[in-house]
Amino acid sequence: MIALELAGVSKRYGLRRALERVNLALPAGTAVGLLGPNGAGKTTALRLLLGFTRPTLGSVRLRGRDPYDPRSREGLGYLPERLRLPARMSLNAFLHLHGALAGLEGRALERAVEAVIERTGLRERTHELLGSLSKGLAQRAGFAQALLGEPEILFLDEPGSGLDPLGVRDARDWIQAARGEGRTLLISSHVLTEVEKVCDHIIILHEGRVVVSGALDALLLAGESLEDAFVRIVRGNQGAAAPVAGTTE
Amino acid sequence: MTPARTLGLLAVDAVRDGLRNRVGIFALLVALCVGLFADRCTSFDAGSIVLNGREFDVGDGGRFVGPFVFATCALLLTLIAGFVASDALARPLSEGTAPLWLARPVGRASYALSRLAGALGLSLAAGAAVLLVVTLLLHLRLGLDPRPALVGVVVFAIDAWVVAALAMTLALFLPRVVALALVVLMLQTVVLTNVLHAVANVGGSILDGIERWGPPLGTALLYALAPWFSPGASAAEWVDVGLRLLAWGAGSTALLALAFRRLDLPS
Repeated sequence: MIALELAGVSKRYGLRRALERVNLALPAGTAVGLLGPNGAGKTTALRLLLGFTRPTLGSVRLRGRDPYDPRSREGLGYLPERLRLPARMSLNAFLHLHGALAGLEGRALERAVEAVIERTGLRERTHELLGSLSKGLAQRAGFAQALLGEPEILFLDEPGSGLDPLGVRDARDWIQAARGEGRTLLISSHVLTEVEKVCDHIIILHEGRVVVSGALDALLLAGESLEDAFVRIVRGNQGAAAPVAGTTE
Repeated sequence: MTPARTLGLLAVDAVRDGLRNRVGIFALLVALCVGLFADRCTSFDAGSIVLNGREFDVGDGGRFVGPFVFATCALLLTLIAGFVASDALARPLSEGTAPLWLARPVGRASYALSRLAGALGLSLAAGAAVLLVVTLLLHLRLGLDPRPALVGVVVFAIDAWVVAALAMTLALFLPRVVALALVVLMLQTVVLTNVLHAVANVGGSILDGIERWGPPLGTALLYALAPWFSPGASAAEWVDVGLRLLAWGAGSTALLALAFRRLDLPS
């Protein structure tokens, strides 16, 4: 089953080209790293998949539906890069509302909220206002809402942002647990060492085009790290932005 | 989950958000000031005023003071509804908290309408409470029949709905100060046109257009309060104005939902 799909998608903001004829189809259950230099189009791709904006050309499908259809986002967890939490809301109220909007009710909602609070180590913070949390704790709260209700698909945009080393380790554990449970993961990050640890499929965007889409193992040359491969591919495509030979688009 | 449940959950949160927010507190304080204004305007003792050589009993003035005080309060409270609404959707967008909710199975229309419902819940509750107090003051101090004022409260609610939906839509595309200024200008123009038309039958092509097709915010209030100072509007006039006001409410709400659906959200 295809979890998400971009077919011939172009997106322009005025004269600026953000994405150009992007084709992607990700099967359910894959853990995908969405990489690219700044301005490559990663955030635009996520915004299209979430229905935050419409493509200029082409079609986008999330769980087989138009992302503007709210039903496409049932079973979706999302952690944005620039996480902005409602400052005057308590963590407890925030998680309960997210859980309710995710379709949870009654005891199932209580259990789900308890589970993510426990998992993300926020037990002592449940009654604190979100605006009073440090950046690292706010990121944990963001993870907690994204993981609520065990979503089938997780979109994580710079998941390690603001986390201390312990938090980074915890985040990796949560992501790996989700991967072990067969969830579809789409992770956009510049921390390639982390991506290498949790993803089995890599997409590299450059100048609005997909230059690499394939299995992580097939992408790496002998003894090469993901960071080395990324630099090789992006520098090799500087100004060209054509798919690298031997990879699939 | 049904859209109605989504809307209900988010509307309750929008009311709470308004109360947690300084805008909501400010609006409640202004509503209180409006109530105090009504108290001051109706606190006069028995006596007489000599105007152009004619003596008027102050007590008789109630039938003119009453509609003026009530209508002024209702229009100020309608503006407060516009003020609260202009913040209710634009702020979560500018602060960046809205996308997190919209990444849930929440439709754009559900989100926008829930914010409108939340903003209106707050301003209508405060507005209705103030207007009921004003009604009581007018009844106890000036001996006015409370029934026209109760109809006036209903008209205020619909006026506030129209103004709030328009203010919320404008604030999606314009800075809030500009959106509010436009709302104030619109309300002022429409109400003045309505009053001029009703009192002096003053017209002109633009004014006639506003009177015929614009939201009858002032006319509906005049009709509601008319029994205090004139025979009142006929049933046919009420139907025309009532339907036009409701059409403006529905139209401005649909416009809000459509505008928000077409809006690009930040990530």
